Amino acid sequence: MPMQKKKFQSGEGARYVTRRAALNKLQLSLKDFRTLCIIKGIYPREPAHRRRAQRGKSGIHILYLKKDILFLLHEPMIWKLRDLQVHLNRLRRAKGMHQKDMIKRYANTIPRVAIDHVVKERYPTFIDALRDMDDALTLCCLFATFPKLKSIPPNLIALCRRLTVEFMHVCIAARALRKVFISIKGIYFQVEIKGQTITWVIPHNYPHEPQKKQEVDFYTMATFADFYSTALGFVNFRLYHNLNLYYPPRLGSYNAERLEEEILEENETSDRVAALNLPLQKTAEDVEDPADAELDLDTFAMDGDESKAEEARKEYEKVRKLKKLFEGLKVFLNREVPREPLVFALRCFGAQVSWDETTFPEGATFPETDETITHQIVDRPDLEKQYISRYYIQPQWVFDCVNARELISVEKYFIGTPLPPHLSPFTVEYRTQRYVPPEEKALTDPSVIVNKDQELLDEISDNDIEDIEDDKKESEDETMDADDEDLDEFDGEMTEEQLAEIKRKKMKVESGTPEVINKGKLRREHNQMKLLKEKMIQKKYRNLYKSMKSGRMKREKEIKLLKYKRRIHERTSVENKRAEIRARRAQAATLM
Amino acid sequence: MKTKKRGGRRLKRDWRRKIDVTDVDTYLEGKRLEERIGDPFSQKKDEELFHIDTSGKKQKFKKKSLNAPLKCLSSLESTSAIPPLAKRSVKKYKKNNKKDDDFDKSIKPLKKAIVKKKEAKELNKILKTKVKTLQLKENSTKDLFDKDLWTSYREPGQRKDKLIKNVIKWLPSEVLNHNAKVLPKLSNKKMSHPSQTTCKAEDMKCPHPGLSYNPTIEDHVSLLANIAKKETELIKHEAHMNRVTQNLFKQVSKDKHEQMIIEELTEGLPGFTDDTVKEVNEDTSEFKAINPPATRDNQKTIKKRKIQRRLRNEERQRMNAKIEKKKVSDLYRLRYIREELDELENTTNKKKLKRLQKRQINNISTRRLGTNKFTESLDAFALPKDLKGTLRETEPQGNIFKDCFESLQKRNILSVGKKQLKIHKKKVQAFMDPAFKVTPDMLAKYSV
Repeated sequence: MPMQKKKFQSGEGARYVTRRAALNKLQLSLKDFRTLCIIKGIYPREPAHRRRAQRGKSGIHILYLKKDILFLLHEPMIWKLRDLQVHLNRLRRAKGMHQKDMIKRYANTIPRVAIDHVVKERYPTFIDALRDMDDALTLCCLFATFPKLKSIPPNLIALCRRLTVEFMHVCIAARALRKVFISIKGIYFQVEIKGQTITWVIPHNYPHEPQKKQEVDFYTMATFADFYSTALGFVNFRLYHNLNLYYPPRLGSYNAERLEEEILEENETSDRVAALNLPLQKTAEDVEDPADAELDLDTFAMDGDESKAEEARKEYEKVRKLKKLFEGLKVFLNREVPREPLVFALRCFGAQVSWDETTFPEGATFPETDETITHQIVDRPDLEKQYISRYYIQPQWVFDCVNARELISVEKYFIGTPLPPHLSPFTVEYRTQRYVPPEEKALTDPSVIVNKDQELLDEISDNDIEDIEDDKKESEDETMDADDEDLDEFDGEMTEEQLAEIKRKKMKVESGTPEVINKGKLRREHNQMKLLKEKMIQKKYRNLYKSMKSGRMKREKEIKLLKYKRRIHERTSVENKRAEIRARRAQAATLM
Repeated sequence: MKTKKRGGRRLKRDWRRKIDVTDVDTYLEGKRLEERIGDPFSQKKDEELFHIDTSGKKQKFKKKSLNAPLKCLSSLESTSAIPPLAKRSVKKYKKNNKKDDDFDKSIKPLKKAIVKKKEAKELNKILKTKVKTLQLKENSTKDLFDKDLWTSYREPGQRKDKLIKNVIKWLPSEVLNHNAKVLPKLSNKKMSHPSQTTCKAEDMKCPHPGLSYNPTIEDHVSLLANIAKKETELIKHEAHMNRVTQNLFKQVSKDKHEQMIIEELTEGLPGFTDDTVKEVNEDTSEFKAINPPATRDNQKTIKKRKIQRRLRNEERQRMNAKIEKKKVSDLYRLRYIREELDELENTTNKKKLKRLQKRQINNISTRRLGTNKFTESLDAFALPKDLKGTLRETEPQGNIFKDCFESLQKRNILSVGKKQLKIHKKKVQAFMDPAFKVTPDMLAKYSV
């Protein structure tokens, strides 16, 4: 008799293990197992056939791949975790027995579970690590705002704060910021480092609101924050060294007195670093500044796709300009303005920033009375004392400038004026055919200038309005007549040329004539080709194509109509204004 | 040499008794003494022992330093010229003792700035304590990022590891297997991290444009419309659930329910029900069993049976004829069967493909990892009246922490747990010392 095959010895039943089985295999408590899984990046899985994977058991168990658990088995950290457990047991016992010296000894010698190697293991290359920084930064920024909580180790909060500030510093040094978006949730920042875009959220600067414990598992999140903070630390180290900066950041002016202050300071992050306002000290002197760094892009494309290469070149040029966007500006922040995000956004593009010393004691470089200040950022309806030499603008100007990649005119952002809408830079334009009002166009493409009423008044004569109304009819007529006209023109030209040729001698260098492109004919040919192509469409796609075409036509019509309406609206408004002016003048004349 | 003694040669002790080794011993003893004290005087040269005094001055005796060992201890000192084999109990001093010196060096610039020595000393003291506490803190925290993880440069400690790796590279597998038993380190291959594709949902990356603190009207309206759509769906679902579960059952008031129960329980008990009505019923109705026994009265007649039999036979014949007919037609159909089979295969393949595609889509989307299903909570939003249009007046909405947590759940990283509505505290049982118990007698005693 052959060996009987047992059930679930192979296949899906053998591939999965329940969490309980995993705990037994690893000889860990559930708490430790959770920590280990989060740090090592092992997550539960859903099998294709749950009944089979659970070896015939009903219900829903949390399942892990057996391979993953075997992988965890090889982790040297497990031994550390077991040691830690023993140590904590001893500490607990000492506490219970009121042995003061023992408590002190055990509390001071809690073994440290190092996870450096796990960071390297999970992110084999630096780029991998950068790709995963989105979550890390969001979580660290969030933890940095927390007060001391029972379920979060106290040094973690300080560490998160330190690391996020350091990361911001490196972004400033590398001029890496690309996009900013102020949402009601928080402020979104997007930086580009080594070709990777990293997006994260900074919560608004408000006091901590106690979280509901039933919503979020604090212990789990603290473990995540623990891992991510370690990863972020090593990323920071590498970024600093790539830019030739000292890693525990050193600020430009470093002398004995400062050192003394820093040592005496209780906080792990010194306020001077957190001010984000002083340049970092470099390890080497004659290094190229990332703002001035230039790249020689090839003028010819490798794959022959020239349009793409051209696009890339344009993008690069834009980014190069963006890096120096605020260069030469001297900005003063009023005290009601959120300091940190604004300083970060301004300094990332080379502006000089200062603020009221009473709001944040360290790092303010010049006082409000400085006459060389070009912009003062204000977020209140009115200000008593104003200097003539500077613009008083609202904070949205900074963020809109960054998103538009150009210095927007400040008029719309003056103190007290209602602001234009703050658009999200993260939107993906999915509908290509829609009416884009000129204001919106101007937001994305600064080259388009919205016609102002005054200009219109100057430009347009009275007759123009009628002309525009006729425009549409004309364009329609054109399409109809185009064919006949073109044919006639063409024939005429041909005969002239022939005549000239007959007149001339045969062996002679002729003067070049510009090639005449018959646009009408070309269009006609193109249309014919299109019709032929349409005929080739398969029967099953024909209806789809028809609906697509009709939709396109409809959208075009809508756009045209909206444009037309807009024009009429503009005209009427101009007319009204003009009438007003006339009336005023007439009044003045009568008075005279 | 003395004369030989007679004796046995069998055992070791016989041999010992036989040979006299005193001369050898004395010689060796002399040799050892020589080693300890040095060469004998007889072998030393005159210059080593004496020196010629040419100056004629009296030599001054040096004052014994206080550090010199006491005379009484001289007997304990070893006079042997042989150095001791090894010091057994030597206390190893840790290098940490150097720390203080280093620290003093590092704070030199501070000393310069401060003029008074006294102040300097005091400050030094304070600084030292501060630094110590800071160092302690640093040791406890694990924020030491002092190496580049992603360089090819290797640390001094990594050398061995690399060597093993290199060796493994070129050794044939049989040799490795053989040596693995001897050198356990060789077999310690590193496992590669299992690749795990998490869900592709990246909701953290793209905030809705309507979430802006100062959005355009269209964006804001679209955001609100999205949320309203979700909300109406939720309401609809809830209504459906109510209809299907709660509304299916009749709702009865409490009193009526009790009455019904009493009625049910007292059914048929004398004194609770109206007997008169029952009696009337009994009188009118005839007794009838549920399954009455078969009687000869309603037996089938022979004619009826015959008819039934004929019908049955006819039916069977018809069926047989049909089967025969089908057989013939199948013969003609043979050539089509192949096509049918192909079609069947085609459909099954298509189904298979569809199933695979579905599975792939499922892999990308959120999956069910535990008992509880993931339900996405509504996005944050601000009503038009809350949008003030300035940064100063905007009220933050939503909870980023919760979003983080939910995004992890959405990406299949965390399993959805049960919402902890109560915090379970351990029940501590309190005992009272019997000595402290208050009894009524005591109360009476103290006249309370």
